[in-house]
Amino acid sequence: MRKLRFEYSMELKFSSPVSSHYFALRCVPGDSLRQKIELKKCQVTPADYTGAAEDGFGNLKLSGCCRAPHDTFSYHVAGTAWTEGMGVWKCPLHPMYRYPSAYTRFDPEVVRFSEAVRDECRKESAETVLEKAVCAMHYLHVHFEYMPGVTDVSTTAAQALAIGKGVCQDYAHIMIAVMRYMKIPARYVNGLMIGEGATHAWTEVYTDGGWYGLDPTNDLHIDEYYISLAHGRDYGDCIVDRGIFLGNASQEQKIYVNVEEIKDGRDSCVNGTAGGREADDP
Amino acid sequence: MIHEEFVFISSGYLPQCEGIAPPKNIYSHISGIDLVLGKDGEWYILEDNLRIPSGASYPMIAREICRRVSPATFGNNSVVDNRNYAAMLKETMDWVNTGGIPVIMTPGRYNAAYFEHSYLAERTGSELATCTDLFVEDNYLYYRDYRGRKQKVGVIYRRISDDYLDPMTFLPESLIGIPNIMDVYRSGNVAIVNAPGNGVADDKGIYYFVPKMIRYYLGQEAILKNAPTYLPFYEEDRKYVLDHLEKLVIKGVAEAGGYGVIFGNELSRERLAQMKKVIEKESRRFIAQEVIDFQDMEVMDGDEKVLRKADLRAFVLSGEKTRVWPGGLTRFSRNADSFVVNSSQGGGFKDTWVLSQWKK
Repeated sequence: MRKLRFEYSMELKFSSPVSSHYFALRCVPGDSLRQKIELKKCQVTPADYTGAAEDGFGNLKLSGCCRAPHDTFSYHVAGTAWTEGMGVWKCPLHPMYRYPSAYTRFDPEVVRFSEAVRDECRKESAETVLEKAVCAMHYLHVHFEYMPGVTDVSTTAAQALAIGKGVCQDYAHIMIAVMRYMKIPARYVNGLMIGEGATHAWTEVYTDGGWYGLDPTNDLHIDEYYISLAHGRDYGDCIVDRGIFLGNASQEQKIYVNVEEIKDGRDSCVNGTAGGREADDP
Repeated sequence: MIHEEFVFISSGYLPQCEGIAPPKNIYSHISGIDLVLGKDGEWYILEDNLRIPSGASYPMIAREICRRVSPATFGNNSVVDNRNYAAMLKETMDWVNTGGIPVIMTPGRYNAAYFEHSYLAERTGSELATCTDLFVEDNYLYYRDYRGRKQKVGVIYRRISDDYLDPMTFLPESLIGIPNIMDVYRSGNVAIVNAPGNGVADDKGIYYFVPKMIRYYLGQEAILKNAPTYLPFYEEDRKYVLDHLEKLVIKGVAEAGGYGVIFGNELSRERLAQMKKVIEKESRRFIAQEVIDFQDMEVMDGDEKVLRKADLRAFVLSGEKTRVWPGGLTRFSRNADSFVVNSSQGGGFKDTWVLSQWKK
């Protein structure tokens, strides 16, 4: 188990004031088998009210509204997380994670790529679910290029494969689509990773009665250096920050994420990118 | 009993509704069951509408007018009084009310069914509201009246589809919804009529399983028959469907309002071959049914009496008890050779009489 200090803030600047701004935020990590969270700060401003509720996937969701005109909107979440290392986190499987979803449909590109992964698994004689998943992750990491700006939040797994490049959201979607195509249940996870940067996204596959995390963007197994925020069938189910408002304004978003390890309970801390990891744009 | 896939890849399946228990555990407060009378004298269920079945106000109005024009007709023919629909609806809404005023929510006056929304609101004593009159605050739903006072809403009979209900949960581009209403609903602080997510139950693919469900859960045989239905998803059925496509009717499982209905006998040979390929490839997307030879009904076309295809939508209300409204909406096709009766596709309607005595 490790102890991490995390901080996640988002600031939205509107070019002119907006009103009737409703929001639903999945920016607060919740307790689970792999992480225990102690919140030090959780602030949304401005807001007439905020309420915490669970969504249909079991994620913590903050929702609320700011009716009066305002030109900035921000949230700030900070606290301590106790995280477990690699492992299978026991949980009954919900069948929705077996089937293709909006971002992970079995379009021709997905089928083609999945067949290639299947061949690779055969070549590597990957047999168990986990072996196959790891094999798929390696294959994806090699055959898909990390490049911000070529895809956006609406890009599906098939579209990303057609482009051949993308960011962590695309890696996660492709991985999920391939897994489900191979009859392995998989889900999308939003979260934070050690170091400074932005939010991150990865994949969990279902095996041995629980979820096991893999980060295809970095070709890594999910370990103590990751904090989960929310999960769903794909990106669309667990958007970290969703809002609607009245107004004709352009917006500028600033995100700051910092996760660092706290050693031995003393104040000395190891900062930054353990093992050369970097958080990516989701 | 139901193949899992039919539930979880149905376009009506909304995972956002997982874990919600609606007030009093009622999901389908108002069900619209479409029936046809076959030439064999047997009634068949054509489909179940469990989302927002519309049309109850039309026979109400037709009867009101008819009563005024010819009051004796009803006594002479022993027609069961059906003027209690609004009272039944009100009782159903009251039963699930979580403590607040009743509201009927409409997308607005340009909606084709706006007349019905306003009529039902008037008759049930509910507030007629659009999204601008309703808002969520501290996990309760409120209605703002013409004086600007806010009143807590205990039950909302919404006449907008699930997708548009809450832009924070479903389609973000919805401008006719109420942001965060799903949180209020999840907390049990408001009843939504009918429950969001019902689309999974009136999916045409699920229709196939209804007689099986009745057998399994109730240990009974269904009183009303389903139209003979095939699921190409199952190999045995697929073979039959592909071999007999020219005499079957094919329906897309996710479509409603008479759209996505294809009659095999109307297809050219090329289209038939094309259709077979699509069915083979995406077997989950379709059901196939035998064309029921339904009894024609006499309707007036100008001054002329003509025969047309017709169906009956029965309204079933579930509150403290489940009751069938003694009346219903009879719909008929305007064209002599059409089977499609939906009002959105130009069908006509009639009041429906239930007789208290059988007179020959």
